[in-house]
Amino acid sequence: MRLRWLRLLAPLAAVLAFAFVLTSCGDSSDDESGGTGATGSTGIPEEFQAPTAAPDDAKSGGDLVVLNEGDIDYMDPGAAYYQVTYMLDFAVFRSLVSWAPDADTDPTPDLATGEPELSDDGKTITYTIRDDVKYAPPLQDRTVTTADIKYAIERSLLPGVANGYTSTYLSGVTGMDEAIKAAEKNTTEAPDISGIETPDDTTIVFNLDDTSAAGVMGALSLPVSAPVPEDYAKKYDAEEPSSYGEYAVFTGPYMVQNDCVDESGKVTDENCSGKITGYQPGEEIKLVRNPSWDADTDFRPAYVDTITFQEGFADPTSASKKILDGSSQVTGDFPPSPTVVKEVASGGKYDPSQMVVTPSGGERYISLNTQEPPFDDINVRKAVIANSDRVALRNTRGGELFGPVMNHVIPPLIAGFEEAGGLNPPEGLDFLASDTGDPDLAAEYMKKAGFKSGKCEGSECNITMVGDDAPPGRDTATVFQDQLEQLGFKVQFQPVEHSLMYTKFCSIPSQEPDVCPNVGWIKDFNDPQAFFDIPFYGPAINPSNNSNWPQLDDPKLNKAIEQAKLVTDPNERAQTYAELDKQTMELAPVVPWVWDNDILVRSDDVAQVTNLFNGLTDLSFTSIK
Amino acid sequence: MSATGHLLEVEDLRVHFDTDDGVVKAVDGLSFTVEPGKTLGIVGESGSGKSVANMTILGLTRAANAEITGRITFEDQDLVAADDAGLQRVRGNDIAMIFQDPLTSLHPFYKVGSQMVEAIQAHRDSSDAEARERCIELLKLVGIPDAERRFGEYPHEFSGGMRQRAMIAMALTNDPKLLIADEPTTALDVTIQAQILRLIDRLQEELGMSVIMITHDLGVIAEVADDVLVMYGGRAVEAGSLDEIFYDPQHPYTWGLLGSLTRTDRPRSADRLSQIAGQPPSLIAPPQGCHFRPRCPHAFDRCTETPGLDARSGSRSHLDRCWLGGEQKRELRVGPEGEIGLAERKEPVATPTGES
Amino acid sequence: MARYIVRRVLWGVALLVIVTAVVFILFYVLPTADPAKLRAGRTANPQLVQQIREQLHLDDPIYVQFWNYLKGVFFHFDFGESYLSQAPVKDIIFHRLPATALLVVGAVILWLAIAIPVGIISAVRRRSLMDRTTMVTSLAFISAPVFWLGLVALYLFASDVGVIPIFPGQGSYTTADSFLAKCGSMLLPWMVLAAATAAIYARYLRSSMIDTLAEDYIRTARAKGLPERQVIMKHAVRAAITPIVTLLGLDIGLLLAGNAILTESVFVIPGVGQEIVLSIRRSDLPMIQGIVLFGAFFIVIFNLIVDILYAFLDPRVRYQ
Repeated sequence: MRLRWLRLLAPLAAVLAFAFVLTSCGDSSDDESGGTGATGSTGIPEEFQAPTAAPDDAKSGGDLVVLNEGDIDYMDPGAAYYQVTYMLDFAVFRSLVSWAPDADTDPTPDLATGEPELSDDGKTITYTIRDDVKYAPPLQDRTVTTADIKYAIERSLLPGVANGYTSTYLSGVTGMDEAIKAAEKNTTEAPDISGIETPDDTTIVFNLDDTSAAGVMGALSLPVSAPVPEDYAKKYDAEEPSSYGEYAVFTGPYMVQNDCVDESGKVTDENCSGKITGYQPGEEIKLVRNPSWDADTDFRPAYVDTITFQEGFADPTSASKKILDGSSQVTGDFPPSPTVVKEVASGGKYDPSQMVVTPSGGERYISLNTQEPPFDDINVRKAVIANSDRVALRNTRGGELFGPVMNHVIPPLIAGFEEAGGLNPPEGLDFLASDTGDPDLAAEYMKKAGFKSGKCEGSECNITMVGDDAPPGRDTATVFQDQLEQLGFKVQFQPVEHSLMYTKFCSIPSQEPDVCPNVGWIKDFNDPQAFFDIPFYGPAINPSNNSNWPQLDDPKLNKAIEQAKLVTDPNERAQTYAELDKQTMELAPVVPWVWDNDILVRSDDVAQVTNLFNGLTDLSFTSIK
Repeated sequence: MSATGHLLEVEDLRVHFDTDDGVVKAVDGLSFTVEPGKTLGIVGESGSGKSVANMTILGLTRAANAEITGRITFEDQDLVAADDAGLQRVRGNDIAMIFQDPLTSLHPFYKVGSQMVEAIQAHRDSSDAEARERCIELLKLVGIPDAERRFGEYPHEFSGGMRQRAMIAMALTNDPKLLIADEPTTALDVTIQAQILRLIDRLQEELGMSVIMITHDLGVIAEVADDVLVMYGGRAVEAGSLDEIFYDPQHPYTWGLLGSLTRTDRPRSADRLSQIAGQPPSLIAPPQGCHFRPRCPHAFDRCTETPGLDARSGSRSHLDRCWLGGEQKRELRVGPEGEIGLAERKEPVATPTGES
Repeated sequence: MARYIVRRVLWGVALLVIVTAVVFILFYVLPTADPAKLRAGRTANPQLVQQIREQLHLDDPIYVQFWNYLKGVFFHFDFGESYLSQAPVKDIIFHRLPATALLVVGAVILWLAIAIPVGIISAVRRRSLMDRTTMVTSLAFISAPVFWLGLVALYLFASDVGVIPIFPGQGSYTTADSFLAKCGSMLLPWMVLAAATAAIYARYLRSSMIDTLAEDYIRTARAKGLPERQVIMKHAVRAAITPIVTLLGLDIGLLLAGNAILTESVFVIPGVGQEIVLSIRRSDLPMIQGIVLFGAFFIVIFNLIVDILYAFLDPRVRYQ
């Protein structure tokens, strides 16, 4: 049975209508968006809402510049696991399915000719792909086949590629376990995944052992499904780690400049190797037009001629001003500083439309270690949450535009968000009712926990916290430290460098402090599954690379999580996850404080289009006026 | 030579320095002359003003905080009033000066030869080759063996005595009429000392130039001077010919100097090696009247009035600055064994400031 | 002289080996983020992390890793590959060196051009108005943090964000295509980097000049009748400048080793300094190792050059 779009559209429309109704009734008890014309479902004022379609008179040509503070994570599409890298990847790598700028729930067919076919039992997914997509030079005479997609997925299991999500989401694919084991044994050759079949060049079939199809289809919308020709890539994948990232072949409207083409995308060297010349790590990435790309085969218009990523802009204020005052530039991986955000929002020198705010699909929370006293007592946890002034915590990021206060697990624009309460906390969870804190309620919970004074007493109150040593993370941690101390806790706060905080403290259960204030989660794709599968799932706790920071291991919740991912019907799925959301928040494992917004600025002359999937600029739809 | 026949005439020279501690009167009314072809020995302790006075001749003491008054006449030119260009013409040319420590007085980074050539080329159009020849000639003249090689060497490669010879050679490059030698042998050991003095003496005769020999050591004076000037506290206290100073000294300070001269022809006894008791006077607040008064065993009430530098002993050229009568002087200057010296002071010596 | 150089070179090599060892030990002793985990990502399973560890030889005993590294460097001039980008460390460093070198050379020329005349004139005209003004100004520049100075310079003079738009601004080095354009993009960075250093050198030279002018050989030079100008330039400056040479050698070595990080950061210059910060943040040991080693090499070389130069400048040193 084909998945019918209509069945999806109906509930979506209903949700949006519901949201509009809420707004027009002026019900915004949780609406801190300030400013007029806010929509209830995201809290973002209208003047900053993202354009998700190119203007009708969009012009072709020009050079777009993206300013970045840091770098992409990997050029290898099989290894990439970072929203900013996806910004690049969506422009240079076509995948089985991808995301058009305005696609918010279902991915857009890219190499696929249309919707996949899902079998009645939900255990077989079949895609048909186009037969007319060619690779960029050096493989300009070669057409993309489904075998290339199969290889791309298989090679992602190699330790030399180390994809971070394939084994999680495709765990239900037949033969996956064997393939993973084979990759461990032979680290220089991609294993065969028996459950993926390619009966012909344009058909690819995924056979599952369970009904986790939704997760599979979601993962296939990420760059891991970008085709990689086996005979071309084999020799690079045989190295440890794989060097394919230096020789990747492209299929999108743009390509990263390599030794085959010049700046205008013309082929200059017949005997080139495909070595990427346009990527200087930490410095610059240069994208030029892909000479093999055919506009008729793609939903992307591709207006600009070249795109350059300039990296190393360490100071967001001066970089943002450079963009706002200059031409043909947009921000990449950093938000403008709070001062610049205020300046643009207030009108005056800059047009407010030069700033664009979009939900990022990510959230931040403060995890409380449920395995150790005092936070092993749910009443203490509820007290801490009730006591927290979460607006103050949110404001350490820079203010309202940086995101609404988080009240439950599923963030805006993800299925299940509205059902879970929308911008408001789930019904009946009194400790989440106030976002500025309710000290009386907190005292009550402390009393229930056995602290007669309503504040913490005794040696249990000495708690440890490890957080970021740089703003804004550090500010959030210190504000929270104050709030904890109001409740009588004595907090020992150790600030460390960000990646150190993760890899040496918060991600190692045996080393984990009582509080990790700077953790959070961001979507992998537009499905709520990821927000529970690892961060709140007991069996996911692993001794050296743990992302279930509260170390929550509730048997009932674990079972519910396992069952939820097997629901295939989108309506049911949204409802199931909304209930799972409430069930998780009932256990009060974390202090939720913000659903992150992506804020970007653009130069006056850029007709910027945002891709709702990652909240960043869609390079294939943006044009220069 | 000036109209009066003197080569150099210093009249009432005063050099006062304005410092944070007060005005230092380094030279406070000094007058003397230098005759052509003769050697004037200037003797005094450190702080007597002998170096400052002589550096002032070449204008080397000019500074923002220096007040220089008086006249220094050289060949009808007043060097006190001369401008920089005028001084430059004279320096190293008509009047040359050598200093006490030849190691620090030569630039360590340049070869001796090139420093000498520099001295020549500052004053005349001489090619490098010509200058070089002249320099080597002079090095030979001052008695440096292997002069050609030495020309290309650095100051630190010379021994102490040879360095001073080289300095002398450098001073002679432009045939100066007057050579001022500021304690040229103090930094050298005794045997070399004698050699250098003999060299200067010889050169003076050969070249017919005048020499001012500045020293604190009367022994040096005895060797080379024709005329002697004794300085104390920024002033001349006695001036005369060598014989006059040695055989008929008029000023108690001179007696003290002569007394402390170690003489090898006399038996040594404990109290004969007498230094003059007390310290040199403060130059900021010198004693009123005669500067030597606080240290002088023969001071009397008139000494609070500054004595003039006059000829009191009979000879027109023998001047002194002491109120004592001639007879008194002859009596007081002689010790128990008939040698000249300064008697011990009966009362303790007060610190010689402007009081008492 | 030749023996002296050989001896110094051998010491230099020994020093480089020691520096490498120290970096290795520091990396293992001090808490750093685990590069294998960073590479594996947030959802990776432990086996994957372990495999990456093996691939990067992170579990080999430290002395084995150290020995392999030394062999690679000294016999093959191979500094390994960056953990993150897999590009050879050597290539990345050589790619970034020209930017740092251009920054350093230009700044050095500029700060010497300012500091030397200012230092000399301030010393010669001690306590004059000019002297007092320059000394106070120099204090201001020494105290101002480089990053702040850079931002102020941008907001005042950058062609894109500045009040008086004259000089190319942030990020203009990467977009510059000709050598001349690259120099243009360096004008503001040169001025900022030179500002504080010129101030230090001017003060230092002034102090050195004052000491030198009190020396006896200056008195002799005047007594010889040399024009004052010659006394100052040929006699005084020649002697006073030698300590500056030592300072300069050290400073150049340090800057090439990545000390210009703040200037590179604020002006977005893709040099060695910027790279080392990135590498530290990403726990990219081969990159850190490589840059530190290169840095140590530059410092050793420049120290050697300075010592040899000193022997040319000061004849007294030659005979030791």
